[in-house]
Amino acid sequence: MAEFKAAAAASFSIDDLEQLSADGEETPDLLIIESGNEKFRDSSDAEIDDKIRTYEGYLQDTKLLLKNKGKLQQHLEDLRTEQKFRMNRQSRLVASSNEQIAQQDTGNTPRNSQQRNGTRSMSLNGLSRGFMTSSTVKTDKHGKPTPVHNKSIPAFNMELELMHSTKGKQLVPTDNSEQLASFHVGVPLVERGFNRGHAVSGVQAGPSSRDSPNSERPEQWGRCNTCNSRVHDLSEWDDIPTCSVCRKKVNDPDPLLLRPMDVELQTQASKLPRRGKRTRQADAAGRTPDTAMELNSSDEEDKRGPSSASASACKPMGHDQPHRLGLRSTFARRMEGYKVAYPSRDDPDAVEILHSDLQRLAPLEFLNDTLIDFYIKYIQRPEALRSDGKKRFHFFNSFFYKKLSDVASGQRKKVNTDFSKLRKWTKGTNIFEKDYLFVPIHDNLHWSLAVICFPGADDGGSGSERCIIHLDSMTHGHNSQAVFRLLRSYLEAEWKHSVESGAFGDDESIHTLQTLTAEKIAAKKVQVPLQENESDCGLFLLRYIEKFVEKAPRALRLSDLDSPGLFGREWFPPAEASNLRFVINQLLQELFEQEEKEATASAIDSSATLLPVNLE
Amino acid sequence: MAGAQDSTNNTGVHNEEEKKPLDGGGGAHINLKVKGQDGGEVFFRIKSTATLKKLMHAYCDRQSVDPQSIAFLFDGRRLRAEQTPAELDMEDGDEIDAMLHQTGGMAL
Repeated sequence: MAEFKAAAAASFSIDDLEQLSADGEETPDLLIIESGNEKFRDSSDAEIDDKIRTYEGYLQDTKLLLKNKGKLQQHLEDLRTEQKFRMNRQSRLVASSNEQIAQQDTGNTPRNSQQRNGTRSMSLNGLSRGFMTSSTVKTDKHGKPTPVHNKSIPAFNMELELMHSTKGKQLVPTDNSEQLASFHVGVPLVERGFNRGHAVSGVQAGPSSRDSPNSERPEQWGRCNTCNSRVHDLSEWDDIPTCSVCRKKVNDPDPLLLRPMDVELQTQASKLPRRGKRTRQADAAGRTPDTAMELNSSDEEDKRGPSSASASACKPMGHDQPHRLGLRSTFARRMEGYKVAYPSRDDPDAVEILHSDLQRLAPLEFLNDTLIDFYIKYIQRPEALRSDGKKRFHFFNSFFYKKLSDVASGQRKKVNTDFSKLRKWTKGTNIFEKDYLFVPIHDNLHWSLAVICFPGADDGGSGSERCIIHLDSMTHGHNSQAVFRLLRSYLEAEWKHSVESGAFGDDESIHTLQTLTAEKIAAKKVQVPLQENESDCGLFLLRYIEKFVEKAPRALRLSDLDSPGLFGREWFPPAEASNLRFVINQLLQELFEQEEKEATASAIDSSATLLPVNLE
Repeated sequence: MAGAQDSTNNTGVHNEEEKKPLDGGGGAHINLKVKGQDGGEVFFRIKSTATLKKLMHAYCDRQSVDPQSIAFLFDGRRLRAEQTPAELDMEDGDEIDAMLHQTGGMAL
């Protein structure tokens, strides 16, 4: 269990809440499991489902050589029987469960109200599980449970209601705006989770869907042919049968149909900040510098080791729904899922790409910093960059410019901007020894590129002149002058620091005698191919770098900037840049496939040792 | 790694957290500061051998932001959840930048 403690516990309530949710997690006694098979007595429904899916996966995978295949099949059969048994039991259970919950409701009033007053995202897992088995119970104003007539509620509302009940809230019709907000925040997560499920493996029908409101109609269980999760057949209430989990029409073969809605919901969620007491507390506490949290490493998550972590990463997020209510698990699980590191996990400078980042490569989507940084790293791969490339070029990451402007704007009143914080970003690199520095610029939903050419050039002597060029795929993209101003002052400050700290050593003749003043640095916005749509600027930025690196001149004078062949509107056809969308997608798909293989391999490794135990 | 106890970080902000006895399980604790783009700072005390995952979660949690919307950077390096302070040569009082992910396609 995570045991991080907030020192300022008075103003920060994570501590107690964490405690509560931890308590709740371990109290399955509120959930009555009436097992058909003794050996599954301790397994929850979700676990059973999960195991079935895992074992099915093992058996279907022809690449695996399983030693105990027969045993595994037998075990799988047992699990399936158990699953059926439990499904049937649902109907019998509802009546008694309703009564129990009614009792629990009154019995747990203090905790319950604490939950309500405290925060929405906290919950007692056990308690909420208990609630979930009885989502049909509505509590009226006087705390009396009254049964809900589901027939009048369409599928959509049922899900909504379920979510509220899991939060231990009073169930009220949806005219309450606060609840609506929570719904908007909540649903996309579910959607996303199940979408991931489509991509990676079968969807885990968590307890939430199993214990859904209409469990008194066991004969209406069915499997959704899209997400393969056990769902209710809602045809009775709807003209079109709809899966209550993935919201797909049950007979609709095209999973992509869900996309627009998914996207829309996600944006809604991002627009709606989580509000409530905890948010305010966090704000108040988060900005006071005298608070600190202790993070203890003795977390079981750390101990599980990489293999099991990646194995659990395969689980879609739908599984988490009941756990989402616990604060820690919410984020812990969400951080999981497939991800790859490029060039490698061992590289401290590696860029980590989440599977969700691939969505940013869909047509017309805007690229994010992760993809930009990934491809910039890819451009630097040894087989592409000539041997002296590493020495000649320096690639700043996509956050450098943002940080630079943050630092500069925070110090506007000072005469000389202090960029010392940025100095660590170039630790181990003397930028003045480089030929070219590439600075990706992000601002206002737009990407462009600045290249600092020969930052260390002396005035005269060698054939090169120091200059900053700005490459922007839109004619009215970023303000070049603002870019130049910022980069000039950065160069000036860095130069000064380098001279003072003796970074140039004995090389007095060129560097230390020369002062670099911002005004003297030439700068020019050059003509480059322009984007033909409103979404490709990130790709153009990448293509500019890629193209420039191919034939970067050994020496550059200002007058060269206008010469044909170097830049210009006809530098490359715009389609070359737009095409990168597919190139990058392809690259990443391959990386993810590789990662998936490795994850499966290690999952099998660990399960091979576990299986005998499981099968006993 | 810098000393685990009672180190004052270089910003001069007094850290009022209570000192917990160090458990024997290897790895000294260090204080790290996570700085948001709004200038807000949150202090963490973490074992230098522990993964940064928990720090990231705790921070996002505390700021009520989606972890997927935040990039954590240390000295310009993009941090990954499974890295540890020790691996990254983090020292007591070091600062981690929490920056919002940026997307772009066109100028507004």
